[in-house]
Amino acid sequence: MPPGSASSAPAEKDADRLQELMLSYQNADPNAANQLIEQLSPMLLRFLAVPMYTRAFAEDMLQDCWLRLHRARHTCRPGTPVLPWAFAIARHTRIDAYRRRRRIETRESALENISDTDGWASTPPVTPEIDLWRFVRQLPASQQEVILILKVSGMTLEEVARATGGTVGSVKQKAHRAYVKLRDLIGSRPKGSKK
Amino acid sequence: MTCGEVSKHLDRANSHGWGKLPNLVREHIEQCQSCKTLWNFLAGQDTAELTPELRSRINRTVEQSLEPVTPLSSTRLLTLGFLLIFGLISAVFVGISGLSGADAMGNMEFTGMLSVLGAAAFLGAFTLSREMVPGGKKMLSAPRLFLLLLVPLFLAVSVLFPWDFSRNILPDSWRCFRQGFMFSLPAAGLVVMLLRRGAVLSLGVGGAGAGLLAGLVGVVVLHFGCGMHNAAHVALVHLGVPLAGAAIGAAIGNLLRGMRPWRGAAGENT
Repeated sequence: MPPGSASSAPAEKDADRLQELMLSYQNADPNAANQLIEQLSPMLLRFLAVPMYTRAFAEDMLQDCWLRLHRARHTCRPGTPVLPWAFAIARHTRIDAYRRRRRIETRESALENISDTDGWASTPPVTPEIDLWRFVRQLPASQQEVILILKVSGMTLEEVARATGGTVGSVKQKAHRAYVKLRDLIGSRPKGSKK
Repeated sequence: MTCGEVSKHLDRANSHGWGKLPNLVREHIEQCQSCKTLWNFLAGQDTAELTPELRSRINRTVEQSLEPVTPLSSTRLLTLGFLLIFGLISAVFVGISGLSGADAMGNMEFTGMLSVLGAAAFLGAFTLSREMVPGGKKMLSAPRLFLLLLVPLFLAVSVLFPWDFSRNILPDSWRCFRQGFMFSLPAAGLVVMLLRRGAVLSLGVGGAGAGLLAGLVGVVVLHFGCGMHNAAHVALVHLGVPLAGAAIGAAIGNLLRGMRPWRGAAGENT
């Protein structure tokens, strides 16, 4: 049995629990809010950080993301899955942060004397580098995103489609193209196995 | 069993786990190095632990304004709300600007165009109400739906109205466009007010949709009030109102997106 084979994501087993917590959170229950933060934040932090952001920047993004989740909590309707809702908001937090950072970097690079004490580079990544992340970074951005959400959240393709604002078909296509590319990059298939 | 067939199972690697895999798939993964590497990567637990400091920062952010909220109304009700705004504002301005255009129009042109306008307004209202809820189910993206909304309008105009190139449409066009645009402004305000009840993630798309729906109000009022039934005039000037509305709405939305405050370290706005 390969390592990492145990079911890990709370997406399926805890979907109902998350909905209950969301309902209590909407009713201003502080315990439910804390439990939601406990359950969602590790996944969201990983999603926000990978593959290029540092821990400090990811933490800022997570705080911004929670502010948005909190303001939009009334839009999570009873009976609808919580994870796609949360990841849709996290995804836009990430996009906005990326744009903001690009703007800042463009502005900063125009200045001549930029020191290398820049916070992004000096902070260690969220987790130690896993070999495959190197390959994931070589995928197109849309494929990277699908692989990242599938890995971090354990959502179904339909839920990933909800989170990314796409259709199930397009998400499936992106995921499967990514698998093909990753297999090619891994490039160590035994001779006996078929493609 | 091929690698391609294993891909279907990789989609659920993180949630289903090894135990739920069919035997054939398991055998393949154990034999195939690339599938094994991919499986281990996707199935492995990968979350980031929160530091106590970060946890307390987030808790503070949330607890500061923890009040009971009522879940947002259903998409059906929100669509109805947008359609009500569309219908009411159109009715008021049609009453003010008069029916001279409708009187000079044939039944086919009048009802045909009005039906297409109604359908476009419904599609616009439905798309906007869907955009108010993050993580909703989508068959088509909002920009595509907006395009889908405009194409039948242009087709209807080109089929229902005569193309008269002998007449100069320019002198009356600016006045007509300005009127239509002014009629759509109050509708735009009300649409944005309703839109703000939800959580529109893409402000550019939300702004474009609001401008488009409000612009359709202008088209309806011009449909009833404008006496120039030349396809070129209707297509360029009347339908130019929702197009301009969408463009301005998208620009404002994107501008607001860029101005969104950023909660930096320690929750300070930068």
